[in-house]
Formats: sequence, C-alpha cells, structure tokens
Amino acid sequence: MKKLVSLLLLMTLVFSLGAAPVEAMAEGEPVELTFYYPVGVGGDLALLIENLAAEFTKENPNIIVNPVFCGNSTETMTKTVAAIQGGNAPDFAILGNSELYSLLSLEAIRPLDDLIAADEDGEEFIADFWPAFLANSYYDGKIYSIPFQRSTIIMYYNKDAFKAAGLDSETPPTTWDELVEYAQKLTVRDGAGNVTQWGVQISTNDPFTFSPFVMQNSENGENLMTADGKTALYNTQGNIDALQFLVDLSQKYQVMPEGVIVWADSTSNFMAGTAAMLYMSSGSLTNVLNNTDFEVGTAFLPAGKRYGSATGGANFYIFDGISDEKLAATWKFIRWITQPERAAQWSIDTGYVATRKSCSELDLLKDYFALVPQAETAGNQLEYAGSELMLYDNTRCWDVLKNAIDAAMTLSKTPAEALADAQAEVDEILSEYR
Amino acid sequence: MQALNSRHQLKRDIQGWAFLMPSLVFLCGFVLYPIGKAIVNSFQKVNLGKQTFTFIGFSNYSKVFHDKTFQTVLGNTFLFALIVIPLSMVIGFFLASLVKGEHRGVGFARALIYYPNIAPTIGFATVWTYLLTPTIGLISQVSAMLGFPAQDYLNNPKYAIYTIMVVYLWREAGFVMIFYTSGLQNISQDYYEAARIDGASPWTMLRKITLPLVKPTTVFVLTCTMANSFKMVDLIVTMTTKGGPNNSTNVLMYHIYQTAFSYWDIGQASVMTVVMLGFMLLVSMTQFIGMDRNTHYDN
Amino acid sequence: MKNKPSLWMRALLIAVSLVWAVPLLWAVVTALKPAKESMLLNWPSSLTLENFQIVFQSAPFLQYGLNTVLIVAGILAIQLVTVTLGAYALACIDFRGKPLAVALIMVQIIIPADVLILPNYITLRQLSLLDTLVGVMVPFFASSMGLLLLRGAYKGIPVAIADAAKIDGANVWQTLLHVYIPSTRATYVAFAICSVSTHWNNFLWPMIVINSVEKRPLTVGLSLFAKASESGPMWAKVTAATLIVMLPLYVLFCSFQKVFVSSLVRSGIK
Repeated sequence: MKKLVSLLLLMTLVFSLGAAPVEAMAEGEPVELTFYYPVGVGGDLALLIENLAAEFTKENPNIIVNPVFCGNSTETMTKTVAAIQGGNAPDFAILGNSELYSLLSLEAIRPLDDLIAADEDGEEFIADFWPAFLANSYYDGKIYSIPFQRSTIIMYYNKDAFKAAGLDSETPPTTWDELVEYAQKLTVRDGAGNVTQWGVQISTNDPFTFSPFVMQNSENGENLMTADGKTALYNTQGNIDALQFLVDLSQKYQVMPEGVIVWADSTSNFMAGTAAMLYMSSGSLTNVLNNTDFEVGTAFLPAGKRYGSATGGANFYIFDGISDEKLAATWKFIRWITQPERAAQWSIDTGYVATRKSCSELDLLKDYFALVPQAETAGNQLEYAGSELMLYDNTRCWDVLKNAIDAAMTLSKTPAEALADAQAEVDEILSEYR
Repeated sequence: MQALNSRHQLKRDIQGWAFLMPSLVFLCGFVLYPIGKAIVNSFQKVNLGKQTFTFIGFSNYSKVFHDKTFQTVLGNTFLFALIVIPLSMVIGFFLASLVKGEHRGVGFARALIYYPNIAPTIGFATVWTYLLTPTIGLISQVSAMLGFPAQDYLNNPKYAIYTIMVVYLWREAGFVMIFYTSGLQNISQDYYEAARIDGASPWTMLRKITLPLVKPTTVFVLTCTMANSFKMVDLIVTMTTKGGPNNSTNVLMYHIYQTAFSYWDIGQASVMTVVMLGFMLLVSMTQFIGMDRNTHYDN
Repeated sequence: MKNKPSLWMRALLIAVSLVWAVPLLWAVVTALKPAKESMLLNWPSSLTLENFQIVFQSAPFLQYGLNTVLIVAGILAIQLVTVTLGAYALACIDFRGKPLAVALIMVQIIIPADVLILPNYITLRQLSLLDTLVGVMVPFFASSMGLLLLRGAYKGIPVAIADAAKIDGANVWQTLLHVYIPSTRATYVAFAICSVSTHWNNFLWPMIVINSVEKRPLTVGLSLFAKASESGPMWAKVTAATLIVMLPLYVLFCSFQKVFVSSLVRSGIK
C-alpha cells in the first residue's frame, strides 16, 4: 500500500509538472465520455485507470471520463459487441490489438487519420510509437487504433539455477543451439530419473508464443500472415522447422515437459523453481519479481536466423458515429494519457511496455531501469518484434493454428502434417474474404 | 352435466394459465423470444454491427454439419454426458445415504460436500488448475509419491476430458446429494422396520423400498443432471485453453460459446443452439411424460 | 433415523468429506500463506492476512457484496411468488394445454442463460433497464427448476388434506398458504439454496448489463485476479478473493442446511 501511495504521489507530481496551463474553459454542459477496458495484469490496474480518468477530469473539468471495467479482454470484447448490436456502443474502448478486423467487419470503429492530421504535431505523435506496436493498427492505409497497454514475449531465467549449473548468470543463451545447450545443463533429474528442474518451459498451446519462433526462423522477419490479413502463411518450410524445434525440445532433448504446456503452468513452474528458463509476456514481470526468492534475469528470446518476438496487448479504438464534441474530447484524452511521461509511468505501474520511443529518454524511466534492470529488456527487444497473428476472422484462424500446434506437440501429427492440414483449413475460412 | 363439466373445465383452464402467467411472462420475454430469434438467425447471415440479417437458407446448417470440429464436439458431448450423468447420480445417492441422518457431524459433512456448488467457479476452477499443475501441483506430487509417472492430466489429449469429468463430479455430486437427502428423509422408517422383521437383506430393501420411493426425486434429478451436463461450459472456459488440447475437451455448449462470442458467427452458433434445443427437448419431454405416468399413483 | 450409523459408515463419511474438502483446504492454506510461498507445496512459514488485505484494497468489496445481496434477494423474492403460483397450477389444476406449458418451461432448464446474452441485451435496452440491478435480475424472475421441484413436492401432498381444507371453506389462496407452503418448506429451502448460489456466482451477465462501478456484484472483484492472464497466476490473491466471495454464502448455507433438515422433521414426514 505504501508503494502504491508513493507511486500515486509521484504520478500526481509528474502530472502537475507536465500539465499545460489550464485553458480557459468553455461554458456549458460538460462532455461525458464512457470507455470500456479490460484488466490483463490484475489487481491495481482498475484503480490506476480510474485515478487517471479522475486526474484528467481535474485538468479538464468540462470533460468527464467514465471508465468501465469489463473483465478480461475476451469479456470486454463480448460486452462491446453486445453494446454495439444494441446501438449503445461506448465512445471509445481499449480492446485487443488483434480485434481490428472483427471491429471493422462490425463497421463499428472509425479511422483516426483526420484527427491526426488536425493536430499540429499529429505526424510526430504517431511516429513516436514503436513500429512493432503500430503493426496491427493499420488497414487499407488508414490507422484505426492507438497503442496503450502493450506487452511482448521475453525470456525469464533463474540466475541461481544458472550458477548452480555452472553457467554464467549474466550471459543467457542467444541462439537456438545455445538454448538447447543451456537447457540440457539446467535440466536436473533425481535418482529415479524424475525431472526436478526443467531446462526451459514455453507455453506451446498458443500461437502467440509460436509467432516468435516463426519470425526467428525467417530470412527477413516474415510473419504468419500477409500484411492485408487475407492470407495465412502457416505451411512454410521455416514454420515446419520451427515447430519441429519445439517438438524436439521436449521429445529429442527432453529439456521441456512433453505435450502441451499452458501459460499458467509454465509460469507457476518457473516461480516454484522447477523451470530454469521461461518464455512469457513482459506483463508478468511485476508478479514474477514480487513473488520469487531467487534472482530473476530477463533476456531477448534466443535467435534462430535472427531475433524475433511478438507483441500483444490492447489499443484504443474510437467508435463510429459519436458526436464531434465527444470525438474531440476522446482524442484529447487519448493524447493526454499517451504522453511520454504518462506512458512511462503507466509502464512502471503496470509492467506493460512504454509504447513511445521518447519514453526511453525520460529520467523517470532511466531511474526505474537502474532500479529494476529486468524491465528494460522488453523495450529493447521491440526493434526485432512483429505483430501477433492477425487475420480476418482472426479467432477462428487462431484456433486452427492452435489445434495444429497441439497436435504436433502431442505427437498425433508430424509438424509437416499438422501445418499442411491447418493451411487447408485456414484457406477455406479466408476464401470468403478474398 | 356435460355443460356443467365443460364450464368447470373452462374455469380450470383459465385458472391454470392465470397461475402460470407470471412465470410465462418472464420465460417468454427472456428465454422463448430469444430462442425464437435464434431459430430465425440459424437461416440467416447476421452482421451484428450493421444489424443486417440476410436469409441464406440452410447454408449455415450445411457448414456446421460438414465441420470436422463439430463432429469431434458432438462425440465429446455425448461421451461426457454418458459418463457423468449416471456417475453423478450414483455418487450423489451414495453420499445422500451417508448424510441423511441427523447424528453429530453430518451437517458438517454436508457442508464439506456441497460447497463446490456455492463457491464461484472461476475461483475453484483456478484452484483445481493449480492442484493439477504438472511437476509442482499436489496431484502430480501425490501420484509421483505413489510411483505413477508424472502426467499433465489436464493437457494430455488422452486424459483431459476425464480430468474435467472428475472436477465436474466433485461439484455435481453435492448438488444431487442435496435432493436425495431430502428424498431419503421423506421415506418413513416404518417400511424398513417391517422389512427387517420380514428378514429382508439391505440389498432387497434398497431395491424394493428405497429406490421406488425416491423415484420422483430420481426423475427430477435426472432432468437436472442431464441438462447440467449438456450446459456445462464454465469448467472448459476456466480450466482448458479453448477446449484443448486439440479440441479434446471441446463440448457442444463451449463450441456454441466459441462460435458466438469469439467468432461472432451468430448464424452458425444459432444452428448449434437449435440442434441442442431439439435434442434436449426430445429427451426431456419423453422423460417428463414418463414422470407423469410414474408419479400418478400418489394422486 | 433412530439407529446409530455403524462405525465404518462414519469412517467412510469422514474420508469422503476430506477428499471433497481438499481444494477448499488448499485454498485456505494458500490464502493465508505469504504470496512468495504460494507456488510451493510446503507448510507456510508464517500465516498472514496480507493477501486478503491486498484484495480488499483493490476493489470496494463491501459495496459489491451489498449489490450481490440485493440481486440475489430480489431474484429469490420474485421467484418464490412466480414459482409457487405456477407449481400450484401444474400440480393441482387440471387444465387443458398442460403439456404445452411444460414444454415451454423445459426450455429454460435446457438452455443456459449466457447463450441468450445478445438478444436479452437488446430487450433490456428497450425496457431502459441497462445499468440497473433490476436489469440483472429480470431474466431470472421465472425459474423452471423451481416450478418442477415444487410441482413434485405439491404432488406429494395427499389430496385428502387439500380437500379437507376446501371443505372447511378455504379458498385457493388459503389452501396454498396454510397447507401447501408449510408442508413443503424443505423444498423451498432447497430451491432457495440453489437459486441463491447460482446468482451469487453469476458473472458474465452482470458484467454485460452494469456499467457503473457502484452497482457491480462480488464476482467482479474476483475476476480482477482470476482473469488476469498476462500477469501469470496469482494463486495467493485468487484464493483469498475466492474465499471472500464465498464466505458469506457458506455461512448462510451452513446455518440454513440445519433448518432444511429440521423443517423436514417438524413437518412430520420423517
């Protein structure tokens, strides 16, 4: 609690320093805005958002912002669609960055280009976001969303376990070969042959963690889909090899548990000290650091042909058909909450990655990284990161790939068969959109 | 006499429907009307945002019935129901016979067995997920101590659906128990006394006295457990990743969820809702008619 | 019931209860452990209420609890009326079209309410009930399960007793009030327990209907922790939040299950 209070104080201080002189307020009715948001990282996040909204209204008394907590990202989307079909959509929302095509086919959101053009510094504003975070904001040359609570996959490792295995705890593996080599040294078995510490755990049940392997194994960072979201590139030799590598980690090298591994299990194992290396969202950093007794290091995901990772999380979308007055107020709020200082503070408070390049020049963030060096990895890795899977009818296509990975990991299909079948299935789904 | 009879009948008709009216108003508004809408939607391509509804005949039906996932899902659904319905009733009945008395500690035991029905599922499904965590979870450690090989019971396609069944039974058995407890307590001890004097074995007493006398409870419980087993979706949502691995735990109700709330394909989700509804109505109506016949004797 | 249960029956009962209680015991221990130890299968080095404190600070649980109580009580109150009347019609009145009525009623038992979220949202909007507690309750004012349960109980009452009341000059309402309702008290309690625990734990529908923070139910507080997938599992907080949500209801159940049993005894049908 003390920590929270001091953070809030710090935040208020930053706001009051950074705030522009209060403009003369227009007389008349205040504008009331409603927005939906999910909580992906638990606990205080809902309070933080409410405080930010109140803070904004304090600075702009003619704009009242009502944040509405809507559960996790799936439930937030459910609530949003219910509201849209009931003709009762909120003014704006924070929704999964990969929901773009779903929202477009509902004809629910509006492009933001006119708002950006109207701002004096609009172009610079957009250019200041990390390109990896903007990767899923565009459709048909127009921009539809502004990055907000964003994360990316990084490697966590147990420094104590590294030392115990005679490895240098400051040089984590940087390539797939090294990953195997390190993991073999880090896999510990008891007398009966049961594993008491796994070398590495990667939650293989999710295309989100497969995307990095795809990019790492490509020549130029090619992803699982074409940029227009209408063609899936599941069945390529590079992807088959990447999936084979994942299967090999558990079957051939036996440094990872057999079968499908889920997010929660891999993180629990890492935190309990029974997995020495972990592939996980940067959003878990706070939870992992606070609740482990050993020294935790973070690193880039080891490279195949190149480095690579995927970004996830949620962006701001503005709904179509809101009044000009509300539109202006919404844009003002989005510009306000994504200011570099605030984006940096948000990143410190939540564990999400600071979305803007200029954040890294701020003393606020530099001081924080000096204190928590593990937090710097995610931002630095962004230049190698790409979009998570994003196609038309995204969830369906996502599930097809997920099932293919499941089938390969549980040995019911070879990687080649699994991806060939998935490609046929996804082509059928996407044929409607071509 | 004829006229009097029909006037009486008319009065009873009016009275009957009038007494049901409060229930029917809400049922019509919030269950039957949306179901009717689903039936219409099953023949349409629906765009929720634009609120456009294009009639496309049976095209949703043919898509659903040709979908391999749907076939897997139907198989899982029936496997789940066939195992879970009888087991939950047997276990629930057995538990009820243990806790039907009033001696010390029984209330405590009832509370310990019924609590899964009171606890929020998202909370307890999360607890189960932890107990099942490979390597460090309680179940994994206990089975290692007993010398079984380490298994990820929840994420191995061979075991996953059975693991879900165990958790489901943990909850459902308590639900069944509550009804059987009251059913068993309704049976007069005199019957057993008389049977004992006649030298009947416990097995005979169970078959000749207990089971026939709890039949109304059984019919009711059967209706509920059946509906519950087909409706079960919360454990799949909270304990598995999207009915995985590789759809091995995907059941019809979850597939409806997935299609409606993740794919936003209201047309196909409606088709599956209609399939579900048709099937369940058929079974439960037969059952209900059976119940009426069976319980007639007490009128 | 006069005869004492045998020793092995008692042993069996204890064993079964313990097996059933494992997740609960585990939840209690984890919630009381320091969060750092929550991943380990050890006996806690010390006991702490810190997890409960953190959970309480992250959401207005008292306000949420009050809303949950209002929702649950409101639903139950209306259900008791609709169900009593309906069950009386189904059990005691011989009217034409009964099979049709039963078919209409069965539909609710078969279809989970969550599937109907999208159309019901539109209905609520037309009724201007969005973002109200009544809006959360209204789809559940009729209960098919209650109708069938009570219908069975009413049918179990000997017709002779009801006829006797009629001969004494009691009208339908008096018969219901003095004969049917008192002698089926146990069934009412059973139904109430089921209804309350269902709606106490409902999450998705209130989440969709309610926008205002001050009208949210308890389960929303739990979802802050149980659904935060990006932060990795937070066992200590999830279990603490689960216990907070569950505790009031559990206390209620423990006290009412005694009533449930004793009302059976008093009604003279043991």
